Amino acid sequence: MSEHTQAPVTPRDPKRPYGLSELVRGTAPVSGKPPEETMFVWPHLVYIEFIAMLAATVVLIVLCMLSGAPLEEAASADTTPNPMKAPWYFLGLQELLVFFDPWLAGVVLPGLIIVGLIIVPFIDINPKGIGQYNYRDRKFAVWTFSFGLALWYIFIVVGVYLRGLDWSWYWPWDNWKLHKEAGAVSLIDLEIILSQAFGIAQTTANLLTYLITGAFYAIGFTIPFLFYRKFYDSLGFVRYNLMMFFFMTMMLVPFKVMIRLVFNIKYLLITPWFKI
Amino acid sequence: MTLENLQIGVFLVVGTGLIMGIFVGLAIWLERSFKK
Repeated sequence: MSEHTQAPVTPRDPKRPYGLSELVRGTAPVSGKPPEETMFVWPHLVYIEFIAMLAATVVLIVLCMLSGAPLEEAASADTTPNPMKAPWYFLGLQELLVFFDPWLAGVVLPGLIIVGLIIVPFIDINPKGIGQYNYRDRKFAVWTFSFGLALWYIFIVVGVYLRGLDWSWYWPWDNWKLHKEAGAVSLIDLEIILSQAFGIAQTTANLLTYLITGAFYAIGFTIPFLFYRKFYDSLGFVRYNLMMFFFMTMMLVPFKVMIRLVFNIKYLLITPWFKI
Repeated sequence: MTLENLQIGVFLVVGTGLIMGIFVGLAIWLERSFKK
């Protein structure tokens, strides 16, 4: 036994009840710190997390006791509530129905959000700032995610606080019991605007809308490629195109909302299969 | 574009910006607070 006695790998710290007892060959997450500056997840972190979980549970129970959330009376076929609102966390999606067809707003867009979030770890290969709160080395990621999340929440805010009778827009100072004038603004498809403005056939104008939508994506894909080539190089062809597709589709939502509000455009693009 | 549409547009842009500002501000604040 005595021949095995050698100096410990890390000097024993009397303040810590544990130490490095063995070295095993293999890989481990790199923390960039020597073992004596790290501590074990169990029990040190798990205890704190467990206490935080208990505290959160207590807060939730107290909130439940203080704030009632009763069921409404039984539904009646005679009186449909106006407006019919989804639970608050779905109101963002319900608000999207104003701007997109139901299967786009209810199926395709939420599906793209979920798939987009799933592929984030496969696209984001920036090794900087892993395992710590980091903004400086991850500005694009932070801004993009914040924008997407802000979009999600602004639609919820609109749905919860600013939609009244007939799903019309009501400011807090409006009279919420009066119906707003229906059809005050008539919406028009982009291809009709184009065919009237340039005096071309509607089928030609329809082709133009394909070009415009394509140009929206093309410009988005090209700008970083031309001016931030490092960004493209760091991602590679497949990751770059995947990332830009999801990014531009996310930007298409506020783009569509704005052209509808500013130019009263109902559909940006009409195809035999779907309308945007 | 009606006046109301303009108001709604401004509200959406400012509101989205504010919420985004909160998230980005949180990211910057967390980075500063937990600096090595």
